[in-house]
Amino acid sequence: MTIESRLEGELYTRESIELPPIIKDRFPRIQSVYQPQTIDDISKVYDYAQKKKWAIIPRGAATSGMGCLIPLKKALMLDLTRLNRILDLDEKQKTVTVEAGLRWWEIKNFLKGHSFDIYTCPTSLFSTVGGWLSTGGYGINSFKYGHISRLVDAMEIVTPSKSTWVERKSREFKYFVGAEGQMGIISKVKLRVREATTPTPYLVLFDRASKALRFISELMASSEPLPVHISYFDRNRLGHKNLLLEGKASFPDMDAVLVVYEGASSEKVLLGLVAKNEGFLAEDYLTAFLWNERFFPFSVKHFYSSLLGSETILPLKNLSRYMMKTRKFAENYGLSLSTEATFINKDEAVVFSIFPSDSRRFIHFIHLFLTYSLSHIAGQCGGRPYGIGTWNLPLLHKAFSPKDLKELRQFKEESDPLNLINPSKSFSNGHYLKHLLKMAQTTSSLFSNGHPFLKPFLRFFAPRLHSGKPQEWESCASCGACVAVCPAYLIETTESVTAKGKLFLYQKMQKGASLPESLARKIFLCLHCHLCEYVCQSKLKLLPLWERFEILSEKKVGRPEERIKEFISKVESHPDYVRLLDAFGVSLNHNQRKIQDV
Amino acid sequence: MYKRYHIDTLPLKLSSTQVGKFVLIRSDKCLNCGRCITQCIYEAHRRAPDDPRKMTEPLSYLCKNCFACIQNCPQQALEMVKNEEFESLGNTYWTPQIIHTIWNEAEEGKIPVYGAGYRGPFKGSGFDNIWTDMSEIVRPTRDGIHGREYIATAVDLGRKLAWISDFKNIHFPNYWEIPIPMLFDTNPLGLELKNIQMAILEAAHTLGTFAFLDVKNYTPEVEPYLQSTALRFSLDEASRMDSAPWKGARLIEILLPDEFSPLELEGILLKMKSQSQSSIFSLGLNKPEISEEIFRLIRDGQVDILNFHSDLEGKGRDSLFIKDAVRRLHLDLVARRIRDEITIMGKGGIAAAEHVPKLIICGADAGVLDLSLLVAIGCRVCKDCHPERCPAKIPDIERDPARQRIINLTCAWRDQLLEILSAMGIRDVRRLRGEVGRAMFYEEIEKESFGFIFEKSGMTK
Repeated sequence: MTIESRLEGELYTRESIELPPIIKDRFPRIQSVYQPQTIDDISKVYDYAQKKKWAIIPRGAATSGMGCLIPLKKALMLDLTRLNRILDLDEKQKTVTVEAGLRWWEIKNFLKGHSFDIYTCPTSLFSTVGGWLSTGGYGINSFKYGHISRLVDAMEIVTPSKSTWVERKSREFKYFVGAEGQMGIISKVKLRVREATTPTPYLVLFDRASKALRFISELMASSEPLPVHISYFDRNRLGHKNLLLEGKASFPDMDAVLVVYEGASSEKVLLGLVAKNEGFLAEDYLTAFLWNERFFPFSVKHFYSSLLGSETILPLKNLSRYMMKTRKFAENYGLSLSTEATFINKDEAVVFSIFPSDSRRFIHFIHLFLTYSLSHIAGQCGGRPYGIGTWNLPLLHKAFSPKDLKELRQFKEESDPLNLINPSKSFSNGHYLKHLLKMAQTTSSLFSNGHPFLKPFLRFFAPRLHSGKPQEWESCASCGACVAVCPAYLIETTESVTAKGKLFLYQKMQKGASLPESLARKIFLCLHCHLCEYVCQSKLKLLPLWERFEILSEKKVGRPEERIKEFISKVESHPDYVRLLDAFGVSLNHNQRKIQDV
Repeated sequence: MYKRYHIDTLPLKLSSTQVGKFVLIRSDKCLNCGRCITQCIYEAHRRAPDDPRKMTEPLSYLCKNCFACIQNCPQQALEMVKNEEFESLGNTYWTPQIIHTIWNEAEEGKIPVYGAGYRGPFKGSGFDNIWTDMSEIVRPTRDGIHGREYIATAVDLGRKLAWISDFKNIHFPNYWEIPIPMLFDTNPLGLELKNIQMAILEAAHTLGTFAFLDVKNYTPEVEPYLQSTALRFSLDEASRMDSAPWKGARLIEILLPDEFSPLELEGILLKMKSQSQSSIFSLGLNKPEISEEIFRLIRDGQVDILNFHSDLEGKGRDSLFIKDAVRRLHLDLVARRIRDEITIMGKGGIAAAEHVPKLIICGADAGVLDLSLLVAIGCRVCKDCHPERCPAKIPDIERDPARQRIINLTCAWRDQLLEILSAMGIRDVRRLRGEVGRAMFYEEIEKESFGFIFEKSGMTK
């Protein structure tokens, strides 16, 4: 696929955190987007990029917010989401082999038909297997099952020179995990799976954070069957979730711990610990709601045009110190900071702190800057960044030891001597940006304890910040869920026809950009199925917007009746369309998704 | 050249009859995915013509409630509820099902299909307590035009000779053969609607049968159809009427009032008969009793047809149902050994295809359709009929579609008659007359089975 306009290129580099244009426009552009469907396609792209002297930015579902997709050089983008076949399910060995562009949601659906389930998955269910392996790796159930790499038996890597299967036992394996696509492109993954089980969540409420944290430590120390998943929510996080409940119910103003068991649980021990720490169990519906919310970390985006924050891996013992510091920090700058911690083992947690901002105002700029201060606080508490991307480049030394980094850089040179894939990021030579970011980061650290000037300024603006609900296009969290379910995407295979793309284009139009005619015509290629509304984590009402958008486009290019008819017949006869529909309800025939031969 | 009787049908929809048994409701959950389109073979689900990306509201009247769309909707966005409008059609005799069936027959001219078959009940009032014997498993109208052999549905109206007494001087009485044992009534509800009368008359003319027309509604417009017109007089009108139009009519009926002078009737009949030699004469009765005077008129050849008149629900005087009345008349004439010489007909309450053969089994030669003709053109048998606010706009209906729908209905009913005859192994509908052995009557079976128990205790009627 080639991109039809600059706008489309911009759309493909969009991530969950949107930058002010003043920053974004400084970066080089994506020249074109390729969607390989076979391994050969990837090799061809390598050759092409080499010839053109362009860089290659590999991409999954674009759900990371770390700036992984920022090209620091003229580049072409490799959108791997169409490399999405399921190749094999070995029910005896309990493994499934999939192409790396497959979304977790689709694996889950497929396995459900065979009474299997994945061990662990990211909170962004619509991200890809390869993407998660490359950028993160901790998520739901990571407490018991650990990092995703422990559950990958082998993966196929395509580097500019070759394509090989890398076993977990091999020395090279670790180089590709969390490498953010700098070492090579993960094309196939052999994952371990398990028999499906039913999780039992318990939500325990505490009047003080210290009690909640003590409860967690004691729970981990108990020798009983351990839970599969433990998360901690501070009261602000629950307060944000209350917005979503629309007054039908609400979480009390307390801190909470979500404990999830699978199969054997020891309720008695759990309840004993709850009583000991003066906690109590929340109502079932609140528990169920919060457990369901695990897949919607950005759901409050419905109410705010921007959510900023940091994601770090913190030692459990420092968590209470971190909480105290951040609370003070938020108070200083009038931020409504909320924190959620997901435990990945007995000692560490992935801590996710976010605060709402307003992308329409200048203050957004200062807030962006403050996210560095937040990372700085985490660093002070012994935290390391969860993912590097572009924005965390200054924190590289916290994520890797110098020895590791040296080893990794060496390997990068071996496997990608021309520095084609995702260049100028953590494992290759610097870009001037790194120094700028470093400067910003160093300056921001000065602000972490409350700046005498900035403090009153931001506090003054805080109450005025969130005037009115943001528009739909501002609330899009760019999570890509709509892309995965869009019937129009099946046919057109460009994100411009999906909700994510259309919201982006609409926003651009509001800001005065003119839509090229070919794109304006594509706006009509929509079944009005509102599957995008179904999966939208910001719970946006999208259909009225599509109607408006169509009216605008109709004025510009007219209504492409013939194209619409052709589109509908194509959709209805598309083999994947049935599977898509079945994922949402009663299916004609279970296990529609057949294992495909390649 | 031999010409096989054939009725030309033409599918003809009316917007007023688009009332389904059930209403399909498409909820907001609908994804416009189009799976219901692929599931529905009746095309109840369609994409909107102006914007094919969206679905239209389901066309519920096309739905045959097979539930395929509901079961296969990926969103469970479809539901089916009873249609209030359908439930409120008609009355206890002209049930919603009966009206709906006639609508379908009149629209398509085909035998209706009831999905999962007839599920009972196997007894009921009126025609529903007759079971016909249909042991031969043949479907002539489906498997071949008339199966292996031609089945005749023609009947004769009028008088026949019982024997020939003088071969040198044979005087043949008048009789008319009509190709179907069904006659029409042009004025079923007394609405006096010109257009409807003409449509029914034209349909009768096309089909080769008769339509009864009250003489007061006779206009020059009727003249071209006079040979298909059965003129109906009250006794009063008949005594006053001296000249045309009745002289050219082939069939003349005189409605008998409750009280009349037999002598006067005889005088009128004699006068009319002498002026119109080719006409056959019918007496309209509202009770199945043949007095001595009337019997004499029959015996002497003044009356050729006895037509039992009942109301729209088949009730004659003393609430006697048409089938029982006709059966009584028939047996009476059999007992008087004159049955074969004249014709018996019945009018009223004929609401379904099977009522025609059932009436014939009870002893009639033919039946007169009345309200079913109006239903064919959309009538809903409202409890109070107000032509000015008719939901089906019957007064405004055009003549051509009305005629065609009546023809369609007749064809569907004749086809069903053929099916019944062939299932009985009968090749001529005339052979079915009075063949009670071809049917079972519920009361009789009940009496046979349980009578000996209840008669003693006096619990039977």
